[in-house]
Amino acid sequence: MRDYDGSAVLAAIRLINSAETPEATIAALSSFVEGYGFERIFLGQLVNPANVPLKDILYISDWPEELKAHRRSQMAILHDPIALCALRSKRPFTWAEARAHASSMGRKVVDMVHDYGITQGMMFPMHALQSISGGVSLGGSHKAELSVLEISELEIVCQTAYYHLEAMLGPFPYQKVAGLSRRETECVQFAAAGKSNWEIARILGVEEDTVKKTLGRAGAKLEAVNRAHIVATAIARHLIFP
Amino acid sequence: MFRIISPGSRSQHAGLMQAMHEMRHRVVVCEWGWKIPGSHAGFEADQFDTDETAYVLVQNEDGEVVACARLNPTTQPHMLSDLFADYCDLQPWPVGPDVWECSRFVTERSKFRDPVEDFEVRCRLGIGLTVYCIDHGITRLSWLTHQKFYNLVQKVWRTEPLGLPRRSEGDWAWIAAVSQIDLATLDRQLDRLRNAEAIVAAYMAPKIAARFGRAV
Repeated sequence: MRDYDGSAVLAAIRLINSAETPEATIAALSSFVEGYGFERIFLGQLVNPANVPLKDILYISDWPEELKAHRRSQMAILHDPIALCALRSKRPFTWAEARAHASSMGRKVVDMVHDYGITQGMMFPMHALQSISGGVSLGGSHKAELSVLEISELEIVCQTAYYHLEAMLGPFPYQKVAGLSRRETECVQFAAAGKSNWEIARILGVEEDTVKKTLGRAGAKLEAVNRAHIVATAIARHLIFP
Repeated sequence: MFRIISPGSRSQHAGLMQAMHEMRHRVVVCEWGWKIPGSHAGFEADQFDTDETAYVLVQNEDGEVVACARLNPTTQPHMLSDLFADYCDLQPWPVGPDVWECSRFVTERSKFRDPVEDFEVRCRLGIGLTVYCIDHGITRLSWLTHQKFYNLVQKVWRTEPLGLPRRSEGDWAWIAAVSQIDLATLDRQLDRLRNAEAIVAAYMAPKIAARFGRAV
C-alpha cells in the first residue's frame, strides 16, 4: 500500500465535489467508473419494499427509458433482490451475489436488464446516520474482475457523488406510484399470466374465495370494471410486469 | 448549549471530566465493544487524553454529560499518525498548528427522549467543535470516521477523504478525512439546529411509515 497512487481517485472526488449541477456530478462519476468497466449508473434511495407502499425510487440514472419503466413496476420493486440486500448490507456487493439469494421472481428482476445489454453490476449501499438509506448501482456489459482495492476506490467515489447529489437536491423525493398491497399485486400478476382464480389459489396456497376478494379489492382501487380491465390498468400504471 | 474544557480550565471541572470518562466507558467500551488498552473499570481513557487535549461536552437539562468530543493538536503524536497511518492512502494526514484531530465523538443515545433531541445534541457538539476551532485559529479538523458518520460530518464541514474506506470482513468501513472550518460552517450548523424538527421529520418519515405500513 505504501506505493499506492490514489491521485486519480482524489481527482475524481474533487471534480465531483466541485460539480454545480446533478448532470455534471453524474458525468464526473460516469467518466470515473468507465475505467472499471461500468457503463450505467443508477442512484437512488431505498425504501423497505416489504413494508412501505411504493414510491418512485428511480431518481437519477442513465438507464434506457423503457427499462426504467419496467423497473418502476410494483413487482420489480417488491422483488428486487439488489435493493433488498442493500437495505441490510454493510459493504458493496455484486448483482450476482444478490441474485444468488433471490426468489425466482427476484432473479427475473435482475435478469430484466440483460435484454438491454447490462449483464454485470455492483451495488454500493449508502447508509448514514440521520439520513434515508440509498445506493449507487453500477452496471456494465462485460465481466469486470475487481480487486478489493478497486472496489474501495469505486466506493469512496460513489459515496462522494451520492451525498453531493443529496446535498444539492435535498432529500430525494418520494412519490407514491401504487396503492396495491403485495398480495393484490401477486394476484393481478398471475391473472395477467392467464391464470384462473382456482389456479392462483393453488399457487399462492390460499382459498379460491380469497383470490376472488383480493382481485375485487385491486379492481376497486384501480377503478376497473372486469378482470381484463384490472390487468390492463395495472400494466399501464407499471404495477406488474407486462 | 455546550461546554468547552481547555487544558487550562480542566482542574476547575474535575467532576465533569470524571462524568465524561464514565460516559465514554458506557458507550465506547460497553455499547460499542471497543477494547481500549489502559482503560480501567468504568472509566475510559487512552494515550490521547493528554495534557494538551481539549474537550467539548454537552449536558442535558439535569446536568448529565450526554455527549463529548476530544481535540488533539496534530503537531504532537495523534491517532492518525500513531495508529491509523495506513488509513491515509489518498493523501498524507495534515499536520500543523492550524490542524487538530477530533476523536471520541460520542453521544449517549439511551439518554435521549426522541430523535429530535438526538439530532440537537449532535448539532450542539458540532457547534462547540467549530467554536473552539474558530477561537483558536484552527482551520482544519482531521478524523477517522465511521462510514455512517462520514456523511454527517460532510453535511456541515467541507470534507475530503484522506484514504479509501477500510473494513474488517463484512463490517462497516472507516474513513480518514479532513474538514475545513470557517464562519460559514458555523452559520450552517446554527441553521441545522434551528431547523432540527423539520430535518428530523424528513429522514424519519419513511421509517415511521415503514413501521405503520402506510404511505408517506
